[in-house]
Amino acid sequence: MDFKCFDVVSSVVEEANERFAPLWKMDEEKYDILENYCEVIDKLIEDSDGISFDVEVDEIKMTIAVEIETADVVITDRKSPVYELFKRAISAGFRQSEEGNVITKFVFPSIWEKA
Amino acid sequence: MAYNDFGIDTEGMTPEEIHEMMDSIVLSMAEQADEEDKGNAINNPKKIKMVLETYKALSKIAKGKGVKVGFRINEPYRSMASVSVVGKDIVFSDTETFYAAARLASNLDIYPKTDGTIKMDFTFHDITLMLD
Repeated sequence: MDFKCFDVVSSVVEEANERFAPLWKMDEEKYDILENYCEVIDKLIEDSDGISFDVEVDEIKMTIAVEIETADVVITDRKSPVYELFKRAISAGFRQSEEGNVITKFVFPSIWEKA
Repeated sequence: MAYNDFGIDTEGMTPEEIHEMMDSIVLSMAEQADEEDKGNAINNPKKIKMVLETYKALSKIAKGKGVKVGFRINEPYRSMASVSVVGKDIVFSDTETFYAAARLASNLDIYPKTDGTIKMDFTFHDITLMLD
């Protein structure tokens, strides 16, 4: 894929900032942590020949969902940072795409707090 | 999976040569597993416990319509076991437990099946102790 996870995430977060303002504002520390998550996601995409990528902010819960489409997912290292990513997500999900690939979905906690 | 995950330098090799080399590595591993299967071995209780703990944990936390969790011991080789989760839409809300359970396994493979479901295989290697 020709883009980086954090490029898409930061763009979606920017739009969400405008929607949630002025009642809610973004926590910079939590935003920086998202960048760390994205580094792991970029590696997962690279290792799994990622096909597509999607980011969405839940309007009510303000959680951030990242979906990755790959042919499969293979983890051979118990210390893989992908497992750390699972630990930091509120939830993780797996389903098949219309094209018959694996969609992995990470839902991360909200990065917004009351202004 | 990158070839250099196996510590192999593939510089200067053609894709055909790389595939041939990977095929021979896989065949050699299968032969080794076959040999181990023929020998005298017993299941390592600690490893079996890990398999069952993973199975119990995933059974508890794997949610979704029609999600099924199962396990196999001493298959496809005596030294292997696996826990599998199959479903159309698998969700884990208890990611801490998922983290702890998944890391007990040697490998995790997630792939699509032709019936529209996803299968997650948590594979355990070296679950037996050789007696001779």
